[in-house]
Amino acid sequence: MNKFFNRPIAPHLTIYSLQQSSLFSIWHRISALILIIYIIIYFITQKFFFWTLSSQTLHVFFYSITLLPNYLFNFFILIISFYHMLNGLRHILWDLGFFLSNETIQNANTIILFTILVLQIVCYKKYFI
Amino acid sequence: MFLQNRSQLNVNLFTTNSYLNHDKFLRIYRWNPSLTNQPWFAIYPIATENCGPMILDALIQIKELQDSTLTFRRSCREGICGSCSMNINGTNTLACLNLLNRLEKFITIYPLPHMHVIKDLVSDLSNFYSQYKSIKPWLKSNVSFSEENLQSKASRLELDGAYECILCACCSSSCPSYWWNHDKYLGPAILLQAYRWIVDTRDNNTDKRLIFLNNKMRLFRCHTIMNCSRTCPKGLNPGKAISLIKHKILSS
Repeated sequence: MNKFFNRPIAPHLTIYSLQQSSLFSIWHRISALILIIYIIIYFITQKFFFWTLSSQTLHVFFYSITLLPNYLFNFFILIISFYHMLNGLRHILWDLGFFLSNETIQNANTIILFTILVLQIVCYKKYFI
Repeated sequence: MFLQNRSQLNVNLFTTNSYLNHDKFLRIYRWNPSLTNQPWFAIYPIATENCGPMILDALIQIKELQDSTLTFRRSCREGICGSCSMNINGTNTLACLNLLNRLEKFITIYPLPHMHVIKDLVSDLSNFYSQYKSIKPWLKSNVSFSEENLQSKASRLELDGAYECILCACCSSSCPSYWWNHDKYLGPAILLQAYRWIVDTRDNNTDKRLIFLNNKMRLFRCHTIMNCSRTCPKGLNPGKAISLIKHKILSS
């Protein structure tokens, strides 16, 4: 019937306003993707680029965070992995049935963001003290 | 005059009428199967002082005074029938429960997301209803009693939060998982009703109901995105019910 009358599908992604709940959920998925790609690239570089004796300089180049691109990259990977870890813990609690009402979800959202900020400050505390 | 597909509106919307102050503009998604192939937007001015408080009142006034081809479902005007469910300013709610007097000047109204459109704001809910039928939403009890079998108050309290669902399809339409798998995934509204029958102590077919739901596509497409509980116009929590069903399946 739908094909016969050539009915359109009402717009969905483009019009539905991003809620806090769906934002956190999609960031959980995106952070998982980024972390998996990071881990795979890590192991691939270890196996294919760092196995010779002369790869010392390459190793230093990739893992020294005194260089700005490496520093920024590590900064963001750290934020992303903290977010994924905390949201993953929340998903485990959800699967057990806890904290599933609207107010607790909104409280937990602010708690997660605040905890990420605190953990970042703790990891980079040598720049603040 | 009303039914042209205009991409540019050559009307100055902000002129002041000396009798009525049109302070709200409703942007409504329109599609007519017998006219054009593409949907379009129609903008209608509304004077708040001349119109009832809810968005459904504005829609009815537009249909009466401005454009009688505007098509939408409505019945009870008090938020109990679930007919007027549509997407208002980005969230799915009932039009009869949403106030017209809000901060924004432009109110954008779409039909329910990712549902086939029959006309204007009317969505095709036949898939939704057939999914409701598939969970067998009736009491199945093969025990016969010689006298009344009263349900205790505690057992009746378990149904609170599940029986009030009016099947408006707002939550299922807001679930991205239902958008991508609407043919196989049952959706939060139906799963909330399935939970209502599972947790009813008068019904003793719980095992068969759980076996039916224990399916990769029917229940476990839910990834606890929790858009459903955010958008429910009656304040119910389908996400929690789905989580409890999963818990019941995995612990039985």
